[in-house]
Order: sequence, then C-alpha cells, then structure tokens
Amino acid sequence: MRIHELKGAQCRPAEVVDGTMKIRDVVVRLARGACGAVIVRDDGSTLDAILTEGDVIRELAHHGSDALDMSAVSVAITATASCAPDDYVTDVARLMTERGLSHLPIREGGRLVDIVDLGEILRQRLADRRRATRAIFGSMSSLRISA
Amino acid sequence: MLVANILKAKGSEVKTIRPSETIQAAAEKLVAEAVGALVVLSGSQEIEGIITERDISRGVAAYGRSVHDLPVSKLMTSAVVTCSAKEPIAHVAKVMTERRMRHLPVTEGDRIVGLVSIGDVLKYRLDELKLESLVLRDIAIAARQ
Repeated sequence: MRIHELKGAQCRPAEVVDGTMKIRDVVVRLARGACGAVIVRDDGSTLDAILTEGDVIRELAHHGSDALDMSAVSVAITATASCAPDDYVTDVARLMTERGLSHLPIREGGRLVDIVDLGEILRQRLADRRRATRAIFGSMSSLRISA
Repeated sequence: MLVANILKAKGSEVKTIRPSETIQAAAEKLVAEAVGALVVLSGSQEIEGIITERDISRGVAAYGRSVHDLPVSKLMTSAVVTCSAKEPIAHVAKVMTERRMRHLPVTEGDRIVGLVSIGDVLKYRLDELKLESLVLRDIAIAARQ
C-alpha cells in the first residue's frame, strides 16, 4: 500500500491556510479537520511548512494569549522530512516513529499537497493486518487441501 | 504483545495536572514535558479527565484570548477511555483508531500505571510486522524443503 492509496481511501485533503492568517483563525481550521495539522501557503506558492495543534500549544505556552495574534507563517515549522505519494506506507510509518513525528507532509512536484498523520497510518495497518490474516489462513487451508 | 510490553519499554511515568489549574499552565506543562496529553487527577489521585493538545487548540478556537485563564476542567475530556496493561496492543490500536484518540491512560484498579500514545502503538505494530514477516519467511523456506 502506498501513501496516495491510503489518502485516496480516506477523507478530504488537509486544509491549506495563508501564511498571513492569524493563529486565532488557524485554530478554527484545525478544529474543522480531523488530522490536527494544516499546510501553510504564502503568496500563492506553498511554503515547506505545516502547522500542527502542537505548534499552537507551544506558542500559547511561550506567549500566552498573544499567540493568537501571531501569523501562521511565524509559527509553522519548516518541514525537514516529507514523503511522496508513491512512498510505501510501511516506510513512512517507520520514518515517523523513528523521528517521533505525529504529522508528515506529502510533497508532489515540489509542493506540499497533503499531510499524513499517525492515526491514518495505524488505521491502515490494522486493515492490512486483517487482509494479511485472511490471506495467510486462506493459503494455509488450500495447502491442507492439496496435501 | 500486550500494553504491558509498551510500558516496560517507555516506563510508567504519567504527566498529570489538577482540574483547577489553568489552560496556560497545562500548555506550559505539555511543552516542558514534551507530551501530547496530561491526565487530570483530583486531590485524591482519582482520574477526572484527560487534556490533550487537541482539546486546548479547540479551546482557543472556542474561547479566543480568554482561553489561557480557563481551568483545565473546562476543556478536558471527562469520560476517559482507559485500558489495562493486560490488554493486547491490537485491541488498544482498534480503540484508538475507532474513537480517534491519540492517548489512552493505562489503569490497574483505581490506580493509573501508564499512558500509551498512538506513536507507541504504531511502533509496536511495526515491530510485530517485522517479526511476522520473519516467521512467514521461515515457514515459506521450511515448506519448500
């Protein structure tokens, strides 16, 4: 299973917000989506940045309520890691767990197009597991029949 | 594998906060401890709720600037879903994905003995997957001989 298949099977893509958007408005977008992160876009081009609920909490901890007036671009963290739509989910899961990332942006043609989060990956892994179990038991019973 | 396996590796320490403390204090603690959730404990150490990054972020959306002065009890989730150390990790994974929760406190009777995150669970699923594929490879090799 590849990342684009995982995303295709699930809900709508991550929200995109303008870099100038204030945190007070970004949190509304975060609440709207399921994954807890948005892509930050600036002047029509996508920055290499995503903004997560964790980023909001970090700024709230450091700046109190003043964090609400900060712009998305000043809070978003430039992505040091990303994945591609054709990457295997297993490889992406490993990268995320090794680096302790809760969200990973998906990059296509030099732009961030979506975000994958740990919840989606775990859901996929469970579905894979059910399929694998069925396949294994299926092949075992056929072995027994042929033997 | 069981939840106990995760706790053995990561330890049973749980970061907690009181329901009367402020959201500002909760945010500071989440950041200082580098965790995504705090278990809310009463004075008598009973679980009153859980408060996560998501709860606070949604609180900012709902309450604006006044959010940092609110008590933790206002934004926490009171109906806490917990698990036991004896439960299989696969079961906890199912609960987390179905209920879209990233953290589950682990309890033993009335006592809290740990907290598992979605990252912990995924890590163990990957290790299991690796083990499974090794076992399957052995079976395949054995079958060919």
